[in-house]
Amino acid sequence: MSKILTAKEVRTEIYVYDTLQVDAVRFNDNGNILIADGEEAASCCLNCANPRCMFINEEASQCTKFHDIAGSVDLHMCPSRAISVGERSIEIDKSKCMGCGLCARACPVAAISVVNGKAEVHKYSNEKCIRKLPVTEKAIEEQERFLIECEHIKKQGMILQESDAVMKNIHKYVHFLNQDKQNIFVRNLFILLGNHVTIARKGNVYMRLDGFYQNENGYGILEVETGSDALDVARAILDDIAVLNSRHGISMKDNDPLAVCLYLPNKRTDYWQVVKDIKEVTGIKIRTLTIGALLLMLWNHVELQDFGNFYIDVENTSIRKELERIIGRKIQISIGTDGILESQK
Amino acid sequence: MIRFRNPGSDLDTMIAVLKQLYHELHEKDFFDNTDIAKVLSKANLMASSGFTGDKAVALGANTNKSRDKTYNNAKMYAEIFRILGFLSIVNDAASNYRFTFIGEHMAAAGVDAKLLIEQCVLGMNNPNRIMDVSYKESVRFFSCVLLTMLELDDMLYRDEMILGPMSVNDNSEEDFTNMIDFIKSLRKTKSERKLSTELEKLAKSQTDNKKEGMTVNSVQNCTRFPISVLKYCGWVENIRCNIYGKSMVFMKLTPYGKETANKLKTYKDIRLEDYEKLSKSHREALIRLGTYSMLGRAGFETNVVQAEMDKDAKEIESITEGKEVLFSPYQTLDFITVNDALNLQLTPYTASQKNQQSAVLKTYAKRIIKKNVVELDYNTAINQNLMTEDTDNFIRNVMQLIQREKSTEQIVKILVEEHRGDNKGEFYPLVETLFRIIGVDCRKSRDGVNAERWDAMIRDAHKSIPIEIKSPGEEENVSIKAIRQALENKIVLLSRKTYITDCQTSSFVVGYKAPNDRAEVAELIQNIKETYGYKIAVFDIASLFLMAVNIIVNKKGINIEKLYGLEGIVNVKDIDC
Repeated sequence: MSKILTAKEVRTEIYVYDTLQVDAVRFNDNGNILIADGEEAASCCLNCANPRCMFINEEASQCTKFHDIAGSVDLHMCPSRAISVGERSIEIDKSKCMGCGLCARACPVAAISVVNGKAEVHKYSNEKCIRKLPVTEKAIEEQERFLIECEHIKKQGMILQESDAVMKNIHKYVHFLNQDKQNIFVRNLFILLGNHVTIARKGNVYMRLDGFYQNENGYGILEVETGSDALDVARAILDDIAVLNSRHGISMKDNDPLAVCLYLPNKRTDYWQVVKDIKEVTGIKIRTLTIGALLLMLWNHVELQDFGNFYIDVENTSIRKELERIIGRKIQISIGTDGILESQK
Repeated sequence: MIRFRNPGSDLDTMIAVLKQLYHELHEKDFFDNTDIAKVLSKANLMASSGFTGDKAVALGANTNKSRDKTYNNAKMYAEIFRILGFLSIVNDAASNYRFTFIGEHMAAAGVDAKLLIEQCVLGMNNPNRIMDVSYKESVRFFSCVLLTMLELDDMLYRDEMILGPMSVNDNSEEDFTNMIDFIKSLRKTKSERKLSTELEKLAKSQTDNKKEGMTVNSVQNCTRFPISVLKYCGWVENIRCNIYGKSMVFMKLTPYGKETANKLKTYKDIRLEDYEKLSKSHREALIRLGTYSMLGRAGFETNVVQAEMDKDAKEIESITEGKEVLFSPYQTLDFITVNDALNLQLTPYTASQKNQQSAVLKTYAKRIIKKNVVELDYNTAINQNLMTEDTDNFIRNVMQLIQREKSTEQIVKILVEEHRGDNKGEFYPLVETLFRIIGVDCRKSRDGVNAERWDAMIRDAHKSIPIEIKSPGEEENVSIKAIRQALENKIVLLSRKTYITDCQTSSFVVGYKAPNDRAEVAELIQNIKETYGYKIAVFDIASLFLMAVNIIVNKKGINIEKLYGLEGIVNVKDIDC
């Protein structure tokens, strides 16, 4: 057939910086700064044709090691889908925004800040060094070249200063997400920390695992628990490892499982002893991380591909020390808050 | 009642599937379910038993097409894509498909194709000329749901949706008003029982596969797809509220849902019966206007066809009353009629193109699951040292049944029935009793001892066996969860050495009934054995009764040594039966 109608272009204009030599991006309270060719320019939304703040790179959602397992095709960056394309910049629906900072970290030119628990876009207002372009193929190509250059530049400052209140607020939102969206959230956190992560496709009853990750150091399964049934996570991991080993030829020895919880399980639960039992009997070391810990690394521009030191069990139920080592400073979250860095009671 | 099969509720996957199909198949004059299956498996978009690609095809394949998972998965997608107006049947063959003009736009839409999905969802209407099954209700279902919610304080409960929009002729104002009044009257009763009674009445009045009556569960299952669509489109969200005397999860219109519902009120909704009353030129104008209006609302540029739209709008102004048209031609009419009106030329079908059809998918070997038959052929007797008050009571009960001239088989049936409603408190001691009669020192764990993760333990000097028990009150059929717990029990026992055991001795699961998905549970048990080297054996309560009753009645049982090494879903066979 013929005469397919073209999709309406919502964007009326896109932008590029005049320079290709961006040296660093600095996040600060008064709006973020792009440092290019020794000069500083205010960061602003380029209204990207390929907005990294809205969609993850499809390649990062695929793990070659697990190629024959069906993964989710949802490529949205924002788990609550608060971001949409606007005429002159992306738009953020603040009623949906969790203030997690995923979009801020994903933007190559730091055009998004998190202020008072909500993402804010720095919109173009005649900043220097920025050129306005009509939405043409040529302009999109030029913009894309610039963004690729920017993707690996150094990030300075913090996306968000952690505090008990900030963490509690985000936890509240995570509870409202359904399980699929929670998994997508965790996937996107890991991807932005430099990993490839696939989340199992919804409705795939034979593949009970939540997801798997792969990076330069290895690979493994990912189980996400946002409730209080941490023991079920340990059991699920044993199930996943057996299924992957027998049905998909992914050896138990090479599979380094990760349990990602919203709260570290309480000391009273048997989870910590069971994790130790599993290590002693099978040799499998279940690493336990929290969503809060991943966020802390995200806000501090950390790349994390080695999870080895996140093995904790009944002997030590805290990840604070390891996280402070990675970030390189004291973390401003009170002991025991929401079980983010150490288990409660 | 309008019924939606459950084609999977993940619309993102459906969109990805459509795009991939278009990429691979759009140059073909037609394609069939086999072509769809091949594309999906190649692109890892279809899973069978958790696998994708060739493995999915291998596991799902069956020479009998009606049982071929891969083929059926493709068929299911084709069906939903037809309902949504993306595919149409050509050549009068039930499974020769082509992409419609709307389907082509769907495939071309960017990553976010939600707006076009919304239009196609609103386009679904009954009766139509596209689906083989026609329901008696005349309804534009999703529009009806939104308009119903507007009338009912923006809220709707799942069962109300069944009694309301799924069972109404919404083209009759009177029927629609009566339906709203009916739901309002149900709400006034504040009685969940009243709502359930009405639902049961409706279920009983349905016919399914020529059988009279449906179960309430089957009727409720028909709501999965619509509820996931309503949420995907951002029209509703869940809210808990107490309208029927207890807190229940209702759907509540979001601001966007409310805006959509209010817009719908301003549209001219045209159905098949209205279309059929029109002249040929009016029909064609309506098809064009309906199609382009949908695309315009979905965010496509309609400038190039604006003149045509204006002309058509003028021509049928008396029919549309000057309002925006809600009419989805590909979801109402046959493919050729719509294409002719849109002046879309198709390559004519020729006989030689029949060869385009793909070869039948290969059938691969199925996964072989071992059967674990335990024959009760070992001469044995009750071990008096293991008897307790509970075992004595059980034996007395069995003896009384024997005196009433009941056979072993009948006794087992009676006992299974007697314990149908058991909770932990009754069921766990029963399992302990049965194992003691079978001949092992079984003791249920004390309540509140966290470190004893198992529910009971067969104590032995060298080969202790942890038992995970699921009472019928917890779950009727043994689940995957129970198998996971049995594995954990084994690991914990080996680590903590609370009782002595070894790696070769089994870990048991006892439930009321065998697993529903026997193949998956059996395979997981096999996977656990291959990976960790531990055996897990699953018993249903009937098997334990059969073993115990046989010892009491026939002094025949199982060699205890065999018991320690059992694995898989145990099938106890009474050799005298």
